[in-house]
Formats: sequence, structure tokens, C-alpha cells
Amino acid sequence: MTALKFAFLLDRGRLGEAERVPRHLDMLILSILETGPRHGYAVIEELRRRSDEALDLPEGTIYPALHRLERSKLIEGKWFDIGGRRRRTYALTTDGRRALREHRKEWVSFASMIQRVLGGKPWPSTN
Amino acid sequence: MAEHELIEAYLRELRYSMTRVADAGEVIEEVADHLNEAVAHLVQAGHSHAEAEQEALARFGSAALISKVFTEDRRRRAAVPTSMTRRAGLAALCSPVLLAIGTFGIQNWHFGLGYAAGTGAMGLGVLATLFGFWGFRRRHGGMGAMGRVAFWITLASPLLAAPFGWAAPAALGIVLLLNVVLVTRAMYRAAIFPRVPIALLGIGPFAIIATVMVMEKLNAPSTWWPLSFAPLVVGYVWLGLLMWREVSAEIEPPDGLATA
Repeated sequence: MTALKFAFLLDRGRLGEAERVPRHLDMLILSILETGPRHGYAVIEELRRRSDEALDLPEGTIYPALHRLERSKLIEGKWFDIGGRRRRTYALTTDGRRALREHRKEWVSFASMIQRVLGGKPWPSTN
Repeated sequence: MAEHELIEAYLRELRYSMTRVADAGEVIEEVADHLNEAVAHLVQAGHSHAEAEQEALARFGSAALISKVFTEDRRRRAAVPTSMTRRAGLAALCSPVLLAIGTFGIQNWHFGLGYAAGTGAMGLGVLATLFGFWGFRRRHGGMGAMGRVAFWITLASPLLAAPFGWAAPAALGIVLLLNVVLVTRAMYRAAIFPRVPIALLGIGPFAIIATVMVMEKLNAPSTWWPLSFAPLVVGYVWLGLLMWREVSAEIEPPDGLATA
């Protein structure tokens, strides 16, 4: 999680402030959906679980991100009827999988570089 | 208190705050589902219904915040540049150079190879501008009213310049260069990249015009003239470096599929 915080700080110079958080949130959402279709509440719960409660943003902000990813054809949303309520579930598209793969590579490379500069063990370290 | 009264009140407030969002009805339905599920989980965890509603709403975020994020997001696409949108951005950056070269060539050579090269550069500049607009729309959801004005001016520019006869290419170049001002204004408001280089790019043409006028008044030596290009060049190079270094998500053709 320290690497994620560093990424937010370092990105400040490279990206416009308006894009700093969305850039990472989009990739986190794609990562969550990689394991299967989910609705918004399930996405936010999984984000919280995987981050050990460290990533704690207002839950409602997930929906603009989901809609943005859908407009960019990286995810696809469908409506289902659940117990008298309508629920929208999102799934990763082929383009979304490729985008996630590419940014995962970029992230591993970036985190390794940071770790080397800080003088710690190579990332990820197994001991 | 009736069940879900707090949630119903919140949804009314959110609906009122999102009147400018196109699919607000569907968004409200999604939010309602989210909040009801959140309440159900909290009640299952031992909270009273009233406490669960308050907790669910506190975690969700205020209606003002959510509607603001939605409204701002409508101006952006996913923050995932692709190779094509990256190329479009770089093409848009190259277009003023091509337009300036084209204007210079056509003004100085009224026939022959110089004229042909100038016309070619001008044509490429217009195409690059339109490609840039497409990339902007694809990546960021458009540039708002100013961007639309700039787009239509670009398309109509040959017709706007035609009445000027021999001076038409120069008029075309000026129209399209002024478009740079409109586009940079739209980019500044959209906050796509750091605002300083965009601002320098936007004021660049005005700096050149103002410097030329002042120099003529003061009869200043012509060696000072290049200084007027400083804001434009600095903003241009800075923005170009930012765009060049941006990583794109390569969209590769599907594996194992035969192409037609």
C-alpha cells in the first residue's frame, strides 16, 4: 500500500491533478472485475477487502468510474432483476483485459524501480 | 420512522442534483440497489435499521459530492490512453507547425515546388487537427462548447478563407492557428494535463501579436522578435514531452483469429 501512496505522490507531477486518482481507480476496478462480473457494491467491498481496508473512498465515487469505463468499452454493464430490484452488473471486455495486462506490466516495472531506489529488497520479495 | 425513509430522502436529493446527467434515472436505480444492499449487510452485522441507513449513507458520500464527480466525469473518458488516442494527441500538437509551414510556403511561393509543399503541409495540418479532435473526444469525452466551435471552424476554414483569393492560404492559416487558442482553452478547463504548459500554449499567439505590435511602435531591433515565441515554444515542448511520455495500453489484434 506504501507503493500506491508513492504512486499518487509521484504522479502529481506527470499527470494533471484531475487524472491522478481516476487513473489508478480505473485499473483497480478492472482488476476486481477480472475474476468475474460484479455489481457496484460488490466491487467496492472487494476493493476494501483486498486492500485490507486501506483503500477507503466514498462508495458512491465508484459509479462514475464504472460508467466511465463502460463508455470506453473496457467493461460492459447489464441489468438483472434481483428480488424485485434492478441490479446492474459489470464484466470485463476483451479490450479491458488487454488494458489491464498492459498497465499491470507498467505497475510492476514502476514499483520495482521505486524499491530499488529506496534500497530495499527487489519487489515482490519472498523473504 | 418508515423503513428506508433516509435512503428515499437521499435519492430524492441525488436526483435533484443530477438533473444535468443524461442517464440520471438509471444511476439512481443503481444507487438505490447499492444502499439497500449496504443496509441489509449492516443489519445482518447487528446494527439497527436506522443506524444501518445512517452508516450506509455516510459511507456512500453526500449527494453533492457524487453528482459533482458524475458531472466532471462526463467530460472525461477512462484515464487509459490507447496508442491511437496518443497518436491523435501528438498529431494535434504537430498541426500548428504544419499549418505555419504551409502558410509560409504558400505566401512566399505562388507556384512551383514551394507552393505544392506549402499546400501539402496545410492539408496535412488540417487532417492532423481533425485527428486530434477525434482523439480528444475518444479519450476525454469531448471538449465542451469551445471544442465544438473549434471543430466546426476547422471544418469550415477552407470556405471561410476562400473569399480572400491569393491571401486565402494565409487567412486559412490564421483561422486554424486561432483555433489553437480555443482548443487550449478547452483543454485548460478539462484539466487533462498540468495547466501551466496549456496556458503558455494558449497565450502564445497573443504574445507574438502583442510583441510585434509593440516592437513596431518602439522601432525595436528585429533581433528581439524571436523572444515573442518563447511562451508558445516552452508550452509546446513541455506539453509534447508530457504527451510523448504518457504510457498507452496497446490494443493488440485478437490472438489466433484469421483476418478477412
